[in-house]
Amino acid sequence: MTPLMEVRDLAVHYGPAKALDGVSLEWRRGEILGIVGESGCGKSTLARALLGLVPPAAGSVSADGEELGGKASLRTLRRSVQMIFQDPYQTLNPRRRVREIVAEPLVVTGVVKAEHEARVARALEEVGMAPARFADRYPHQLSGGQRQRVAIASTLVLEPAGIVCDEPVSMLDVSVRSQILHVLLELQRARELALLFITHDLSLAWQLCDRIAVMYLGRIVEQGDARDVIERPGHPYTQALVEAVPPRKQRNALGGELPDPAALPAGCRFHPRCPRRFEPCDQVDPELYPTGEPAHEAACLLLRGGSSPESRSDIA
Amino acid sequence: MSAPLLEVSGLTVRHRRDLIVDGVDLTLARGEALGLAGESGCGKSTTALSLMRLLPAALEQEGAIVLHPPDGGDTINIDRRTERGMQLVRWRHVSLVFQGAMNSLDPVKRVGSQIASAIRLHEPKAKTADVAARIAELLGTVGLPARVERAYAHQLSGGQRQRVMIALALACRPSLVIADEPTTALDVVMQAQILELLERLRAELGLALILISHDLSVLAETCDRIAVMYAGRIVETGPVDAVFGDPQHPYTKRLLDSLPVIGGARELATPIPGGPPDPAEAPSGCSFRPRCPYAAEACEETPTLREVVPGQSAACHFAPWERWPEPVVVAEEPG
Repeated sequence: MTPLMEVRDLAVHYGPAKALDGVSLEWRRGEILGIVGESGCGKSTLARALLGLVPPAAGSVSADGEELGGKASLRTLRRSVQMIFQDPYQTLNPRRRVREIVAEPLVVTGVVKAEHEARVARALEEVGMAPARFADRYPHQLSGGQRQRVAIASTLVLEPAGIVCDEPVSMLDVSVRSQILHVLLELQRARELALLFITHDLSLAWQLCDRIAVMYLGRIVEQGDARDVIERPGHPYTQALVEAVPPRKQRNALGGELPDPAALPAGCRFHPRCPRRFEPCDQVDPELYPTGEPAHEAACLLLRGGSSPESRSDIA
Repeated sequence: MSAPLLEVSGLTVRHRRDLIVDGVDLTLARGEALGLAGESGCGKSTTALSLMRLLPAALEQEGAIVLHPPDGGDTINIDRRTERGMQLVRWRHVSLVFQGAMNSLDPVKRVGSQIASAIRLHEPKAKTADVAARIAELLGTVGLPARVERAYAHQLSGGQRQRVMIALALACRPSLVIADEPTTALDVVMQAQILELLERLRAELGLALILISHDLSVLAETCDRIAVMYAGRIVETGPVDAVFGDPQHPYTKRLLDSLPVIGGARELATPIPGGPPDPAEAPSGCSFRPRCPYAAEACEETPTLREVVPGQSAACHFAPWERWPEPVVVAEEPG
């Protein structure tokens, strides 16, 4: 089946900074795909590129098998793929009532007015916001969680096939967080929605995602089934991320910080921080190699053909 | 328990008629790390500020705050000090690492000169060379290269700024550091680095720590004891392993259930319905009652915090948890 969206060798540059540098990824229909990495790794840029919000410097983005290019293809895309953001306090128009906010995508896409009220009401009900109680409120009369529910409702009115969720719960209280995740998961199941879940929190990715792609400095360094990637990471960076999730048993935080994306290290871009680097790592830029598990691959020279796990630990 | 460093009793903070903090008691031993957990609006940051007497003028605080300096100095009654008297206590005895290091550093002063000001506040006669040596030592202690001394805040990453904040907090060799969400704005890798730094400082300097966070897993990793706050009160407190392993308050239990754990269940637990209460509309009786699946008639009366298993206290009429009634589904407004 054609994936919902696909990117091939995608590059996005902001001036000298290579925010994305050769990313290839499939986002399948109905799946929850996690994009995991630290801030500055390019995960939000990837989301923006998927929605056609930043122009690619190279490579392609396609939706439903068709490459994005002209305005017409973007218009189709924006009906089928929607986005919600991290900060529910900044994304809703403060001067509009909930019913107007949720109806806006219908107005923009020219849906006949007679349909608006029913579609808005249904979307609000789906996110647990009784229309009679909430439709006439303004954003400042809502809690953070309620605002995020409204943001989700306003993506639903267009009946999208996928929603890109950029850190959708990281600014919410713990007890409210799990309510919002419940809403998203129930929608995913009921509507067979695809979710692209961008997060720096691997434990959340563990709980929610079918597949995970781990990003580092504009590249995907590992991808595969969520359980495989987290339980048996093939890339030392993924391993460090897994080990950094509190509460930790060992104290061995990865040192250093993300290098400047305008001055990428030669060879493997993770090698200056890598606890397992060996001879060729500062010269050879690794591609994604199979880890041995189905559809699980990682960009680490330790996995390059010929080096068995035993010899790997010797080198490290 | 070893000699107490800090004793807080009946700490109450009011904003007009609203209770923001409602009768908080805390004891902290020398070198101990206490975690203060809770969601936004529960009063944890207000508690931190009141321990430093840094509340905005509109807030009134009551209750005893007594510090016993470990160097054998006289007992300090923080709650009775004048503003001038507090200046001798802040940074010298108790320091605060604020939430959001981004906004707490002076953007137009070099890092070194900011640390120098902090040192000179308490040692106005210190020689320039001694101050310079101390700055270099402090930067080394928090794991920053010496050249950071010449840097401005905007030239540093989030993690580096947080390290500078910690260096500032340590400048006058306090015995207690209060850190309010010190890792919240940071990525997991940087968070792990900062937590390791705090742990090392505790071990090397014998520092006591009050760590405030909404993130229970951060506290689980770093603290000896934990106090969970809800609507201005401590609803559960005890050794960290006991509280996490065997929570005695339904709020703590549900919060822990909702935390995703790698290797744990890949299904979402039943969420706590509703949202944290607004202090202006705090419910009568047990403030968790409207969200609690175990709430019963008894809960219309406010429960007191009492020891329910040795060393572990909870403010729930039905604690210990073996006595919780059958849970019911709670219909609350979406949070």
